[in-house]
Amino acid sequence: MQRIPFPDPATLPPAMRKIVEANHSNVTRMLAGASEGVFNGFAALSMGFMGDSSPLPPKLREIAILRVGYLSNAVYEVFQHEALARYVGLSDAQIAAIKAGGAAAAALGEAGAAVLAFADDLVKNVRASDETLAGVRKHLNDTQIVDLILVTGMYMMVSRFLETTGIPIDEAPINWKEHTRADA
Amino acid sequence: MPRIAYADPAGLCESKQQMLEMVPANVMRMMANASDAVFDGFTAISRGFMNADSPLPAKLREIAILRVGYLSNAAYEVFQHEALARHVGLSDAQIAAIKAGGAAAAALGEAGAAVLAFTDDLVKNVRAGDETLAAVRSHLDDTQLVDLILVTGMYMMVSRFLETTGVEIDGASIEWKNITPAEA
Repeated sequence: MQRIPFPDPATLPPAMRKIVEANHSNVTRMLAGASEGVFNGFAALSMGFMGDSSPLPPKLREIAILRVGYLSNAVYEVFQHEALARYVGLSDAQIAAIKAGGAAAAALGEAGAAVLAFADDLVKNVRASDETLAGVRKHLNDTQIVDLILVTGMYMMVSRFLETTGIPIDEAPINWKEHTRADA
Repeated sequence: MPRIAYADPAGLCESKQQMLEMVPANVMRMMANASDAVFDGFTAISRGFMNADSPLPAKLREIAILRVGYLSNAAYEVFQHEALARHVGLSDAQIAAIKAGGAAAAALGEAGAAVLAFTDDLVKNVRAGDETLAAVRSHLDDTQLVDLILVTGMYMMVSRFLETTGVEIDGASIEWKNITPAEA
């Protein structure tokens, strides 16, 4: 159930209105309720993770994002990012493993399972343990790890925003291929 | 010693070097490990919250940020934001009330207590309850509310980044008066 109204596009600053008109998803419509500096900063940070310059492999990024969505019961996030996970090459069986967690994570490969355990630890304990940190460091360099921590935290923010404002599910997911690459 | 090494200043892009000159704090030295676009996105959204034209009153913003820091046992975040809380006009007694939570929140006034309860709910439950949402809505418009949800989530991200990388407490806090106004 939607709890906060979408802002009226006519009342938005011109640059924000343009973005909202070009992106019809309900998440963009609701984000336009933020102040302009916050809206632009949010878009810049998102593009940092999704853009071509991000060194974090898309599959590992989407494992972390989807896991946050499942742990948070964030249905809109899960709806959009299951589609993105398929686009970057995760299989339905792997997506089910991200949802199940635990021993099922073996289906994600060693790096993917390490990212899943690290995401769980970050969400639940704030400070990831030596063991889960060492698990991801075997596969990622420091820049990738810092990006991974930040994208995990970013989607904790997004989950709270989506669920508390009550964003309705769109009829179709975002056309991800227009926004981000499929391969690392 | 931090768990991840601070970025080597020699190899950094110009925007990272400029930020490190402006904010020569360990959080920035560690954040400089992020990929360039993620770093720029992080500083953009931070500026969105801290700018003079941000619609969220600075005291209410700092109540939410500090509460996230205390709930997360994020010692570095608490160190920096206790100083910022004083800069924006919160008293030592009010800062103690943010830490204590519960009935102590009365010292924050009606709006401040509503923000504290809303922050607790967001952090713990993702989707804030009808009651805590209604309480903040009686003091904030929808833009302020969206900014408040996002800043709370943003500092959950920051707490995980600080604690997991092991950013060390600085000799002195950031010179907040050079960065953000004391009044909304």
